[in-house]
Amino acid sequence: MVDDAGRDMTTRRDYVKYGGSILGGALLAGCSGGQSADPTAESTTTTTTASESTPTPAESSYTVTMAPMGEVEFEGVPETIFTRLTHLAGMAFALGRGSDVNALHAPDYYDALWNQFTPRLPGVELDWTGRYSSWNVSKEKLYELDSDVHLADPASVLALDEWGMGDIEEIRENVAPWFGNTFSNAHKSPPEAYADRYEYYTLWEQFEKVSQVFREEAKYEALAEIHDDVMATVEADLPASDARPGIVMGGFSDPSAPYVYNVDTPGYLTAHVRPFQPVDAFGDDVESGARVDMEALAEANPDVILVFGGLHPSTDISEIRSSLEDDPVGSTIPAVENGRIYPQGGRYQGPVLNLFQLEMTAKQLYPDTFGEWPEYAEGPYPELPESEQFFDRQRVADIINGEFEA
Amino acid sequence: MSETPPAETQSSDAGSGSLRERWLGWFDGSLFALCLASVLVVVAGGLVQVSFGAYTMTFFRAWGAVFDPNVVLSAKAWEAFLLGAPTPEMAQESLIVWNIRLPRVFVAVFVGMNLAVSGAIFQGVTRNELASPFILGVSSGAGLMILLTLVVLSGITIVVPFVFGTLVLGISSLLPVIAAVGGIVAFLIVYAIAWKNGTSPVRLVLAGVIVGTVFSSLQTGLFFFADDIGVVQSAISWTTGSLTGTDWEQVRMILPWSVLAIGLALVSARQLNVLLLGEETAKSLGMDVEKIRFALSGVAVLAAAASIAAAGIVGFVGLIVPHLVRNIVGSDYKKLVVGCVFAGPALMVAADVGARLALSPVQLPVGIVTGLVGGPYFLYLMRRKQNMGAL
Repeated sequence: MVDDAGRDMTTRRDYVKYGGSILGGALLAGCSGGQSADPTAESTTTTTTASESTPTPAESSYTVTMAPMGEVEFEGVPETIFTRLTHLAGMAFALGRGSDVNALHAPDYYDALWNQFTPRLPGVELDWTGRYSSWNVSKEKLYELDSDVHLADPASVLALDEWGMGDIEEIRENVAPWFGNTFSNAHKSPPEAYADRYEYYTLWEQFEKVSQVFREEAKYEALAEIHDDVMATVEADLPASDARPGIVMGGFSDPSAPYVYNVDTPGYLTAHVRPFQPVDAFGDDVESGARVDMEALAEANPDVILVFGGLHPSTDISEIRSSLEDDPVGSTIPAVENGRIYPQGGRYQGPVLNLFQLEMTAKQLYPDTFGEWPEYAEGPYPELPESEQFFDRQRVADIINGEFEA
Repeated sequence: MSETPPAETQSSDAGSGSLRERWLGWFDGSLFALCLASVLVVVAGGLVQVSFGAYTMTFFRAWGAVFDPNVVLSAKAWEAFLLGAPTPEMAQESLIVWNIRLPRVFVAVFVGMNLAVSGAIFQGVTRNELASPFILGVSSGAGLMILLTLVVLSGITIVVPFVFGTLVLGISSLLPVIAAVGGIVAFLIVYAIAWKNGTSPVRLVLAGVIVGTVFSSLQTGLFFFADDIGVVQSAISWTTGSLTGTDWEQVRMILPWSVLAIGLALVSARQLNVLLLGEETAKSLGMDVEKIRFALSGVAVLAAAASIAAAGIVGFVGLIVPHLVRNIVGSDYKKLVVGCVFAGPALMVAADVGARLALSPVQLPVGIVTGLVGGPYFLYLMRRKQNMGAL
């Protein structure tokens, strides 16, 4: 299994030349070990496709390749951005294009979540409230939005009831191309129609592709460098496997019967937990999103409980803590006894949230090694002393805002 | 079917013979057999629930925990279970058995009882075999109110000055009342729609279906727009009916309402029998049909609401159990209500064994199991009986 470490990032980055270099060649990521093909640069000047009746002179078109779309051509850098899942919306945000996102899944929920992190990024602002909530996207709405790129996986849209292959192609031809990959989330199976051309990417591999769509490779490079540093910090000091805590990540809206989520499965949903090689207190027979009861939680006996969405303003983590402490069975669980109930942010994280969440999870799981995670009850991501930070907030903010030296 | 009353089990004073005859006259062999079988099913289901689960302990340890004298004989423990005082120290196994496994069986018993009795009353009031709290819109009304509470009003507490101090009520302890209000409102709407110089059973059912559909749509709408996955998950769990995570708190919540509703149902059996004779006959016997119909519906709504507040909307129990009992003991409501009080828990406890243990440690909503069991049984009844529908 490749992890999100992207150990080959540095080598891969050396190939990239800025300023309109184009990457082709599909990457073989996921289960194969993460060695990616060398990017090959090629300039294309093709402007028209058969379906267009009026040829328009292109500023300079370019192509980016990612499964399941294959080679996607862009006439110019997209200005308006349609997204569905927030790992892609978060990538737009990381590239300084957050405000150009016109749609995302559960916009108000994720706006509130992202804005638990923006206060730590000087000069970075984001407002996704009131955008189109695009989980059940309709074709008509896509015509209405008239976006320049659909940062969404066509395979995941095809999985919606009212979408057929014809609709996917129609939108691509008449509105804008699709560009996204969803099923890398937990290496799930895409719909049949896409099965043979599907590939799995890590969060950062996908981010690299998306940065090419917006011709913002330099921002990707700079953020990936920070990610490499964070990963190096983690790997250098990661305690031996016998010192690793058992973990339950769960949604505790009803504390006596949580919904639990895997923390060690491949895919970008665990990009902030898996690098710590955690011990999932529930075995593989419990799928993400399954509901268990307090008895099962006592049997799993976790050393650490991670509260799904605990950083979100709508989740009252203090309430969850006291519910578990007051529960006669719950109070016997080591995580509860030792006060190790910690908040988590989002699983569909973009690269910036990934950086924060790697830091957060490191401190939650191994306080002796990576420093204490402060007692968190509510409010934005805690302000940590500079010596405790895994990365320079100002630098990340500057990259997002495009005010940095590569 | 034996027609002889069962052997005398109670000592009697002289002069109470007539009373005993009245009591035993209708408590015949078939009803006795049904009650006995139901009790056996509940006990067997309870045994399985207590003995097995996600938490690893041997059969003997589980039973050691059930009879743990530190719990069974501890006033403090019972105070914790029944009055909500802090739980005293006890062994881990005892905690699991007494705080998780046992109360869940009790909640299943009360939920089954309430739903079955509620369905039986509704079927009598509407003189329609297809009536149930589900079909008369009560479930969806109660469910809608619960969802509104979860989504909009969560976290509100109400402070009630009390003789022995102050009682702070979280919104969750008021859920039965809230659910009952929702159920009553839905039923009033159904009644108003059906009313045209009085109601008729068929009109009631039709209006119920319409109101139920509208309310279900509103429910769906509520969590269709909910962004927070936690709210969505709670909503789904409420609308499918689930006993996952129920403990003594739910027992404390449902117990008083159940006693009230079941007690009222038992004493109203005679009125239900009169209603079954038809409106004209009932009127000529001096019954105020509309008033009685309405009062009885209130009892049924209360029973349904109490069960919904504890477990959400568990389908099919209120429809199937009265049928099953009617097939065994006939349509005399004195027998029918008693039969439902026993058979409802049997179905519910058995279904919850499947819901809790089939995929352990993963928990299924019990409503899925009752639907899977209830649907085919209902089809079988339909195939077997010539004419179904009117009572």
